[in-house]
Amino acid sequence: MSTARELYEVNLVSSSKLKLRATAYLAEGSEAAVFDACVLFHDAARLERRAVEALTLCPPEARLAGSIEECWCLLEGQDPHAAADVWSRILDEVASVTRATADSMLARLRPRYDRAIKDFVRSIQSRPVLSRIGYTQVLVPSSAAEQKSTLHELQALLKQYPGMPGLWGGLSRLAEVAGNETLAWQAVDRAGRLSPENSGIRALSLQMAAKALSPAEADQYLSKAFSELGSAQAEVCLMYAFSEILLAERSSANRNERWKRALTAVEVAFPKTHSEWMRKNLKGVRLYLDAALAKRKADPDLLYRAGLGRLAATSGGKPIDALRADATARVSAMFASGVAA
Amino acid sequence: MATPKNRLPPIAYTLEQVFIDQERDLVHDTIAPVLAWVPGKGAAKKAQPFCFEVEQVQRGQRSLITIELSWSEPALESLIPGLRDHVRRLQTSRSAQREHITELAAYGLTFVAISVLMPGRRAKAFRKGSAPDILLDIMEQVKP
Repeated sequence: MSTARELYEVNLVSSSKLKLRATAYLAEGSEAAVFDACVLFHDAARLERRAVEALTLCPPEARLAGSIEECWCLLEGQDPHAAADVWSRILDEVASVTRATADSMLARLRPRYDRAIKDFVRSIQSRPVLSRIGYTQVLVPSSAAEQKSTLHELQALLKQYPGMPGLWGGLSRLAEVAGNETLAWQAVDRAGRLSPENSGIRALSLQMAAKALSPAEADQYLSKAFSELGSAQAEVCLMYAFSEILLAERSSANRNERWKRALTAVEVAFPKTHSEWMRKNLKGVRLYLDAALAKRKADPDLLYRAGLGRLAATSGGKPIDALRADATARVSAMFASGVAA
Repeated sequence: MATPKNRLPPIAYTLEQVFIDQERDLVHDTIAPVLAWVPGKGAAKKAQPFCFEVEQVQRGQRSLITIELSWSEPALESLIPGLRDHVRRLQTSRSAQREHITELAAYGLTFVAISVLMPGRRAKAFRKGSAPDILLDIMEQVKP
C-alpha cells in the first residue's frame, strides 16, 4: 500500500513527465499537437493538485508551490479561466507563508499570470458578440445571425485558447443548433479530453455521440458509458438514457434492449439527483420507457403526469422531444455555470 | 566581489549515456530537440563534440567546466525509433512554437550536466512555475 508521501512523489514525477511531453507537442506546433499539449498540461495540473492533497500534513510552502505549478500548467495549457481559479487559491495560501517567501515563490508566475489575463481580456473585448453576451453565460443566442457571429468568434478565440473546455462546449452547442453534428461532436469530445471530470461535458458528449457517430461507434461509446453508470453523476445517467432512446428511434435493431438500458440508467439516476427539475424529467422519461417496453403509445399527458405542466403547456411536439430539449438546455447551463464558477 | 572562477579540465560525455544516468521517461522527449538545436547553423554543423560550459558552485568555490558532448545517431535511433525524422521535422518547422525546441534542448543539456557533475544523482521532477527548476529529491520539499 502506498503511503501519502509516496503518492506525493508519484504524482509529481508523473506530472513532470507529462509537462515534458506537452512541451514536445508544443514544439511540433501543428494545431492537433498544440491541442494535445493543452490536454497534457491540464492532466499535469490535476496531478500537481493530487500530489498536495495526498499529504495530510503539507507544509504551507509545499502547498503554495503545488498551486503555483498547477496555475502555471493551466496557463501553458491555454486555459486562463482555470488558471484564474487557482490564482484565487494562491492568494489565500500566501497568507500562510512570510511575505518574503511569497514574493520569491511568485516572482516567475505573477508577471506571467498578469500578462495572460490581460491578453485574454483583450481577446474577449475585441470580439463584439462574445464581449456583449459573456461567452460562458449564453451558449446559444436566440437569433440566427447572432448564432453565426458567435460561432465565428468562438472559433477564432479557440485558435488562441484551445485549452478552454468552456469554449469547446459552447462551440459544440452552437454547431449542434446549426445542424453541424460532426463539428458538435468533435468540439464536445475536445472539451471532455480537457476536462474529463466534468460531468456536464460527459453528459452532453453522450448525446452528441448518438447523433454524430456511426451506429457502431456510438454503441461502442455508449457501452463504455453504461459500464460506468454506477459512479456517474445523475445528469450523465439521464443523458445516457436520452442517447439510447434516440438510437432506438433511428433504428428498430435492438430497440427493446436500448429501452431497457435507458430505463436502467433512469433508475440509477433517481437516488443521485438533488434537483427538482431532474427528478421530474427522470419521471417523464420513465413513463415514456414504461409505455415503450409495454408496446403502448406514450401517454399524451406524460409531461403533466411527470409534474412538468409548464413544459407541456409550451411544447407542441412529442413529449420525449420536449424532455430531451429541456434536459439538454439545463445540463448545458449547468456545465456553463460550472465552467464559469 | 565575485569569486574567481577555477577552470577545470574538459569532460567528455556521450548523449546515449544519459538514458542510463537519468530517468528514461524524462530524457526521452529532450533528445530530438537537443539534436535539432545543438549543432547550430554554421559550417561546423555536424561537428562533434558539441562543447558547452557549465558553472559549478560548491562551498563558495566557482568552477567552469567544459562538457564535450558527442553522440551516435544510430545508437540514439535504436533508443528512440523515428528520431531522425523527428529531428528533421523540428529543424524545418516554421511553427510559432519554435522556442519550445530551445526549452527542451536546455532540459536535455541540464540532464547531461547533472549526470556529469553529480554522478549517481537523478532528476526526479521539474517545475516551470517556481524555483528550483529541477528536483533531485522530491521529499526534501515536504519535510516537516
